[in-house]
Amino acid sequence: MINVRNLKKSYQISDDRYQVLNDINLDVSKGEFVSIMGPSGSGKSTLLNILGGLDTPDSGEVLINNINIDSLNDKKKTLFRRENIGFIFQNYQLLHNMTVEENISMPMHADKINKNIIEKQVKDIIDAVGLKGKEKNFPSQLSGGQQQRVSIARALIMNPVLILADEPTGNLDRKTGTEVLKLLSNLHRNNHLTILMVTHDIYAASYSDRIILLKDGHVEMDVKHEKEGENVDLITNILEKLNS
Amino acid sequence: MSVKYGILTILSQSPKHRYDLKVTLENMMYKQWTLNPGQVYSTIDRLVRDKLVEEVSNAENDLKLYQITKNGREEVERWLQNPIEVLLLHDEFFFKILCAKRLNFDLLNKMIFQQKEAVIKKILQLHYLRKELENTAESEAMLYLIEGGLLHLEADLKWMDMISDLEGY
Ligand SMILES: Nc1ncnc2c1ncn2[C@@H]1O[C@H](COP(=O)(O)OP(=O)(O)OP(=O)(O)O)[C@@H](O)[C@H]1O
Ligand SMILES: [Mg+2]
Repeated sequence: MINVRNLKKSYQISDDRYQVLNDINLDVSKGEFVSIMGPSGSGKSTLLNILGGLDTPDSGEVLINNINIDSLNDKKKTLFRRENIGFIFQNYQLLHNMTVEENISMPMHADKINKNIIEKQVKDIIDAVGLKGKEKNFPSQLSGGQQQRVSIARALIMNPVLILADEPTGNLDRKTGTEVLKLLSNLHRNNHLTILMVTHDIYAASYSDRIILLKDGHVEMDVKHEKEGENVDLITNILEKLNS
Repeated sequence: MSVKYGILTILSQSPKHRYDLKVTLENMMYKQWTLNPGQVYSTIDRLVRDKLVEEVSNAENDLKLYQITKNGREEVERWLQNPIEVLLLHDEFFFKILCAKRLNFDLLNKMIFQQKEAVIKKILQLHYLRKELENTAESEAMLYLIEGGLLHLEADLKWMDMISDLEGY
């Protein structure tokens, strides 16, 4: 699904060059839910933006479903993004003069889809993310958690194969954040989505199946859950922990 | 963790035979504890000696039936109500850091890296366990334990990151 080879990215700031991503290699299979963690400035957002075609690498290769987005012209790139990738951001990035419905259906209008189909899909997705009754609200009339649900709905409306989420729970308290994570986790399971989520919060990452740590522009650690059903002793360990 | 309070808790609900007690205790722990019978039976004998549990005379068959006494009930309540002493430095890794620093151990960096990896693995295991349990009824208390475990592991990771920073890795 995602193949990254020898990816490098640097920024020039006055006379100095900062190597932000230094030889990243990464493969993500279809249906994985991956968290990307690492200290501030380690290049997490830069990596996500390059994967989503919002930024370009200095060198190396990024394939999404075997397509090298960097090789597409701007028009094709925009189209590819709209049809394949859903973005979720920490600050929701909703349009404030549009209602919940309008924000969610936005990507569909760009594609000139039949009005009845749009209405039906928007209604379904609003149900799925738990925003029934809020269709006519403006973003300013919603809580942070609800605004993030709108942005998740918008990310999903085109049935993308890949969701790129940059600190989706970063502005939410733990309780609201957990609700958003459960929503993502259910969507992941029910729709076979591939999700890449950048987060600072290991608790948020505990909702994913694989955790990647970035450090100084490279992959420091890549941990997957190995065997299911290897839970013997686990609870005994927790009990000891809680008791110590 | 004490088998003693597990037994007293179960007997607070109804009298039980020895073997029943062992099985009920194991089920209560979602079979994550395998208890050896000897351990359970010697605990029962001790509880009888201390008058927290007593035998019920049972005419129908020879199996001894045990029930909790008034003292036993008071003991459970006292245990539930008293806070547990907060012990730090029980964790072996805490102690390892202490020793490694003392020896100026030159692989401290690697030591932390590997421990971090182990903690993250455990976090993912808990994630799968949580997924499994979310679909089963009456697992509420176990979900609480998982959440508690995750929070402890989160603290462990933050602590290791802090040491890494301070050591300049
Ligand atoms: N457009 C840009 N021009 C110059 N430098 C940039 C640009 N974008 C990012 N950087 C630099 O690249 C580095 C990595 O930035 P990035 O946003 O990817 O970090 P991050 O891991 O997402 O951090 P955070 O956790 O704080 O969001 C930072 O040092 C940042 O200053
Ligand atoms: Mg960032």
